Amino acid sequence: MYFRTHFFVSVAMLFIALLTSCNRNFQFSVLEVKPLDRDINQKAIDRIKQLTPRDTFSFLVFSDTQVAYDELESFVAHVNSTYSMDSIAFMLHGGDFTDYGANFEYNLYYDDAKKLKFPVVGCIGNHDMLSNGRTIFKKLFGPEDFSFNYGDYRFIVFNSNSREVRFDGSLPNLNWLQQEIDKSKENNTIYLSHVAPMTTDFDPALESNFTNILASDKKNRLSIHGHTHSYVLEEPYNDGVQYLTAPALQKKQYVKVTISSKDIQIQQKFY
Amino acid sequence: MRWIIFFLLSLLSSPLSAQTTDSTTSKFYKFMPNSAVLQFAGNIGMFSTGIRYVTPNKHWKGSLHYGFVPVRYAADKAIHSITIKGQYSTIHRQYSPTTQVEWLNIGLWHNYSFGRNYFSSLPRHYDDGYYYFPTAVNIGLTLGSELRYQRWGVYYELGTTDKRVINFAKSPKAVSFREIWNFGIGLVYHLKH
Repeated sequence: MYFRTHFFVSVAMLFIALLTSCNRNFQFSVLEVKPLDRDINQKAIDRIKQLTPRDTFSFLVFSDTQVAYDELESFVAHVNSTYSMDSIAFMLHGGDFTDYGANFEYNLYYDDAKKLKFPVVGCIGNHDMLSNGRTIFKKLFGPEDFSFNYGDYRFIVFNSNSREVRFDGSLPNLNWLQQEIDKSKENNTIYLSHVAPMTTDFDPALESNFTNILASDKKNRLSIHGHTHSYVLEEPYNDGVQYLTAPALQKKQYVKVTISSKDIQIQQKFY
Repeated sequence: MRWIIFFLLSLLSSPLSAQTTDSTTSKFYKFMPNSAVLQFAGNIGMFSTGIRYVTPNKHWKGSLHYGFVPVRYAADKAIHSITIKGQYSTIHRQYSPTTQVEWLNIGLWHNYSFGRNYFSSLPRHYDDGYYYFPTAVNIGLTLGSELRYQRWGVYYELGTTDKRVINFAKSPKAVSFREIWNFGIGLVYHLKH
């Protein structure tokens, strides 16, 4: 008799505790769309706009952080303790924040990366497009194709994951890319997209148009990518365009780029 | 999808009419599920509804659910999924003729989500092994308890999914053991004693 009353009371308390507990503990589906923040790329760009641009500046590039949350945590600690606020302007992420494009993975990345003291701008990776990943990216990060400037440098960031759309010609969006280049008021261009044109996951029908667009851009300084997980710096088309592939964070590596109007220094870093 | 709802509703409506007849030995009764279930969260839908069968010794349960996540928490389309769940009930106590508690239910579920955004076998435009996992299929493990009072019941479950366990295995320090678990709560209507 008493047991029953007590039990119902404790069950009721348990339910109240559950209902008022952290919203994250009620998950509707692995495929759900419930990112923890909105437009974090724009928020980072707003912070970058507050900086006083320098003629010579540095930025860090890291990429393919999916499933490597231990490495991401130690990377955040390493960056925050190694680099003073005026030594690095911002950081770029080369894509693949997630393995399955799942909401919980995006949020796990966000939990760790928000502790970085520098603004981070990222492009979408192929894994990030799986399931409802494209929708989550658009809500959490913002548009897939966008550009921003730092001083006399225009950074053009876009989706180049052609295989995810079955090579239908929509990715990368070359019309958009050419328009961004044409309307750029800065004298230097740096490109950021996940899949490089040299890889088999880049639309072969668009490869030569894409590389021609980059080669024709006289202000082009560098094209940055991720996806293939190993650090490579090369000029594969002999057309004056340098392609940098950032290593996967699981290898405990990243890249530091120091650039001025006359010079560019690219260093593979280990931590 | 409409057909699944129709099927589930017809299953639920037939036992309600069977109660008015001498039901304990009719064929209908034998095939009737033991209970109907409504669950909130637990990774099988924002809301999911299902039917459950229980073995005569009351230790094994099997249920079939249809789950739904509205567009608000999904992409341009709502997420419709179907889940098969199997549970083993231990520490099973009857406290009175009307009250029964299952203190520990261990469950395993297999969830399939419908739609072209997700795949169960790798689509042809990928090379073999490009992605090692299906996005439409998720498997879960649950631990929970259930209370029954007369014809109604309530339960909660602590659950995890295969993708979360893999994440934890690869990054045990960053993804804590606590992080991989989530809650589900449910209401049960018992159609049989």
